[in-house]
Amino acid sequence: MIRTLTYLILFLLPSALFAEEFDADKKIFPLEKFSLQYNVVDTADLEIVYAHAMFDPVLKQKELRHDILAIGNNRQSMFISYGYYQIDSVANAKNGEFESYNEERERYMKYDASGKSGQILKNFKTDVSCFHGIIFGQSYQYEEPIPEINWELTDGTKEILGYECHKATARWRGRDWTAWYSDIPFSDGPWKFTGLPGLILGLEDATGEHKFQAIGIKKDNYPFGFRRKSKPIKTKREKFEAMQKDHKLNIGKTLANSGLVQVKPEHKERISRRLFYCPIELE
Amino acid sequence: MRHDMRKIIMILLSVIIILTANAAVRITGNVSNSEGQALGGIIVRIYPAGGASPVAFTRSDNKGNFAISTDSLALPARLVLVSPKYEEKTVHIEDPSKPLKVSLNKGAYKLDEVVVKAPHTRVKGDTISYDVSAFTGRGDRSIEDVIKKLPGVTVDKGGKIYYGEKPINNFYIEGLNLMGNNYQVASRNITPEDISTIDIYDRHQAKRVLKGVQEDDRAALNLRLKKGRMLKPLGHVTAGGGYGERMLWLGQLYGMLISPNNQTIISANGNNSGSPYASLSYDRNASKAYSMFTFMPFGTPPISQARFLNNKSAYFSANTLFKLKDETTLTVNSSYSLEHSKYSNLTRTEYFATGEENTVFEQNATSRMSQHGVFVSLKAEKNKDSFFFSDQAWFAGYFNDNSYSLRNPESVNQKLRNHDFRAGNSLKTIFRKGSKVYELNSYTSVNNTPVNSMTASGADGEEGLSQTVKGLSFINSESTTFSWLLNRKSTAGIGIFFEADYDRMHTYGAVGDQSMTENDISGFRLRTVATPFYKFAIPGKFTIRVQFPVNLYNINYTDIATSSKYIHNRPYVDFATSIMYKPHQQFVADFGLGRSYTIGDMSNFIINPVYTTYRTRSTLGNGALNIARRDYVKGDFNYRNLPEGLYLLAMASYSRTKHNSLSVYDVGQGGASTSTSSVNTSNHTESTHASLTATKDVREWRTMFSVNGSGLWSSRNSIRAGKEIRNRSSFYSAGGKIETTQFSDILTVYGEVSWSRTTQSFHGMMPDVSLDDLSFNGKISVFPLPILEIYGKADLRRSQFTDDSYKTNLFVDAGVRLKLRKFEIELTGTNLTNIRDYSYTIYNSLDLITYSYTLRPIQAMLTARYSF
Repeated sequence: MIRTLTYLILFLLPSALFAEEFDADKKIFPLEKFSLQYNVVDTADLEIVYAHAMFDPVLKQKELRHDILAIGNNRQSMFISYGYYQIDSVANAKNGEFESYNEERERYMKYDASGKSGQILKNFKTDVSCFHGIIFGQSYQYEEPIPEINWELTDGTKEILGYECHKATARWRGRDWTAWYSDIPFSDGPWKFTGLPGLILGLEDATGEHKFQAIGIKKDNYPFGFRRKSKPIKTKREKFEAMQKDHKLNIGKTLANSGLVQVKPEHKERISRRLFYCPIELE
Repeated sequence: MRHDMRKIIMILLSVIIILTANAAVRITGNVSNSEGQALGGIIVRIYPAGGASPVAFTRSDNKGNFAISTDSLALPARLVLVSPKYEEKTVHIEDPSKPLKVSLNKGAYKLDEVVVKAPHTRVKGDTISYDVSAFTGRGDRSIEDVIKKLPGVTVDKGGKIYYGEKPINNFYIEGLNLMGNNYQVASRNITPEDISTIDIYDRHQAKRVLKGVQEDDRAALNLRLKKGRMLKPLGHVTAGGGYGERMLWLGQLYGMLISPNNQTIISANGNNSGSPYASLSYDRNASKAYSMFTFMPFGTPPISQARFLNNKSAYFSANTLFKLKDETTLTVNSSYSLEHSKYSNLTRTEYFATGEENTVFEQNATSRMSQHGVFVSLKAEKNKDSFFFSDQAWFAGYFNDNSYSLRNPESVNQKLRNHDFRAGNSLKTIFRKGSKVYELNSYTSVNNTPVNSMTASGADGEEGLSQTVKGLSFINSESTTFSWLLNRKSTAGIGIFFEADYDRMHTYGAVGDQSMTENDISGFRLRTVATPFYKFAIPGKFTIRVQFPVNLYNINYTDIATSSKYIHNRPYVDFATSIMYKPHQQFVADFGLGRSYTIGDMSNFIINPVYTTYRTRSTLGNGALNIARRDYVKGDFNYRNLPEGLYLLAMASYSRTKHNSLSVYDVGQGGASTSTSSVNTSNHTESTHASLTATKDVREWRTMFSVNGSGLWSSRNSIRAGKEIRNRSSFYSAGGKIETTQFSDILTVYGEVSWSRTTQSFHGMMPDVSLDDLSFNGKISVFPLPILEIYGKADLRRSQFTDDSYKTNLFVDAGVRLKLRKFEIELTGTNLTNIRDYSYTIYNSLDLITYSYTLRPIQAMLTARYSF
């Protein structure tokens, strides 16, 4: 009995010590400016915020995300989650300060930093785009040529954010897209979309599963690049898409393969549920 | 033949000409800057003759070369070269075969910025977080103005906040409930500039020990302060003066200090400009004796009190909360209110006379009220995952001294004087050990009304009538609940509730020296309830709860005057089931169905009449215990799609209640007196209610739309002039609301319109009668400068008096507000149309009452506020 108690005390002691030492209000997390957080490749002077509505036809669920396209002055652009951008902007503005666990938690809770869509860096000088995505905590990265989308310019105009936009259609990677591009002289757009004679402010696919709409445009001075700390695994687009699909359609399998949890056979059914999954690229 | 040949040549030539003009073309060229350096990445667009959209495009390569092809092109075409760093250039093309050489001049593209508003709504489980800055308009003064705009949230005139149909159960500031039910002191004074986020916790169970065990279908609201607003005093000082019929003044101090371990709010207010504070006072159940006389017995209109009440009001409130160790809080709330007010009105009542000619009674009244109120409360709470403890002790005292001058056309002076004291303690403890939950609640309150008298005299000062109603009541309730978590989804349990009420009421009425009526009753009422229940829940998706409360009543009252005893010992079994179904994150449906009994109390044995005003007599009971059995079914359907800014709420309910008491209403000769009483006979009432509310926030337009409609149908029996009448009434209402901000926040428009129809049917005794009311409420604010607001308000009410007679009242107010950093100066003009009379008609049971109130005249106020 005494031995059991001793083991129990020894087992609980480290966690008790940690519990005593951990102070959620203690300022321990350093806030850093962009240049310290990122391998900066360009500085955006134009930012477009898009609302991205998605619909998973199997789960019959909608999701609304917000992304930002930062267009650099050195012919590069970055497409990332708006939440990430805001979190980093706060850190950039408070460079050198420290924040507590509670403050950091609040900052992350305030902005939706799920970053589910991934980040895309387009380099128009080399015509290469670089994608950075996360599956179950692991970063992956792949490169591909900036896609050449066979746009057909058609009749039709629409006003978005006060800009007259023209219609263009294309079939790209398994979906039929309609884009609304403006006269703003950047051949760029949300996600990997590009190749139109002006900035894309609206984009939707024929099934209604994806709809991007610009909700704001502003000038800024925002350095961008990929995070220094992330050490991504290099992969290919097809492989990443396959892994993503596998993960989203069978989270139980990802959990079991991660080794983080032991999944008992009787619990398998409960956790093998499908997550929200609605890829932009089907092929 | 030659002729044909010529024809063919002509056709061929035509085709060649058309093909030349509209043929597939390839345009090539080179683009460079003014210094001759090649420019890559320039966008080159081709527009056909007269076309607004490009038909083809390309981008120049790194050597500045471009080649652009199109299947057909109407000439002359335009080639437009654009780039963010160079000026746009247009080249007209007449001969596409000629290579182009284009030079661009430096010049940045001019962008029309559209300010990005951060995504302002975040949903995480049952918590919805709203970014206050995204919902705040320039005209919003308090956080209540922002709360009102949140989808699904409404705020009533008293400041009470509702989410859907239900009032919120907690108002938190940084997760702590300092103000209790009196949160409007905070919500009406905290400015949006100090708040970063408003969280709505849907279906919020505040007691952590009960999370996952007991549902609460009400929401809570939490204000999160901006960084830097903690640990420093926030608030404002306001002072103002003006003129209406007389000199006007107001003063206000609001101070708040929020820190992680202490929250304090102090508020001191005074004015004579029409804003009484009585509704801010804490309220507890009043004793039966105190409730016999109403504070404003001769009518109150459905318009702002600022329009008709001549007041002199003061209110002081001090509140503090200490967060101690181990999830424990200690809260002290106190308030004092002083109210002197006066108003005048004319009442015309047409009494329904069951077939004979209706009796009409008219009366002028001037009511003068004087009230002091004091409230103190001390509360300690420990809210842990395994244990909950709360103990609150309070004291409240009210002192009223009112007088009413009446003319009908005889002159009558009526006076009301009463003192009322209420004190009590509420203790709640809940333990959770593994799968078992134990709950023990104890509530004790003493209500004493030692002074409570109404007197009425004629113009000559001779005392005509006096009525005293004194009372003492003692309430104690204890409850305990045991529940067992049977498995992950099921809970069973039993709740035991015991309530003991001791009441004593003594009434004495006299005309002159002559004794008229007397009641002297005392006794107790014990209620013991055992509530077995079963709950099945799939967390967040489905819950069903079934319970069968068994109520045992032991009632024993003694009429001291006659030594009669009223004894009743009997059990009653209720039934209630509730279902919550949430098939989707955005949709929730609640259903309820059951049967419940309501058993009467001591007032059923007060069988001698009591004068409640100089001309109204009320006999509370008929000597038989009231027993009402209510069967009901109800459903709520709630859909919210916050990404789309859509919120829908539909609600329907039906109930049928069987009573053993039927109300009797008699009108004296010429309407000079009325009396209410009851007889012991079986009857039933029915009520059906349905409503729908839809709100849509069209963010692209910065406009919020809301529509609502409801119907209420009820029927009941009553006895009038010896005849039993079945009276059916229906009430329909419909309305819409719009709020929009336009032109980069320069213009804000708010408009609300509502229509209602009340119909009374007398079961064939006379034709159905209907009254329609239409009202419009609007506000327009213009901000020529960000610091300057010019606003106008209109309140239009069109009330129906009779079949073809309507009266329209239009109130117009306006003001100018200037904000200079921490200072704010405001000039307001009230009742600019100088309407001095407000009239409307309502149905009160069977009778048609037309009220006409004297209003405050046009008035102007200048106020200055300093915020800190």
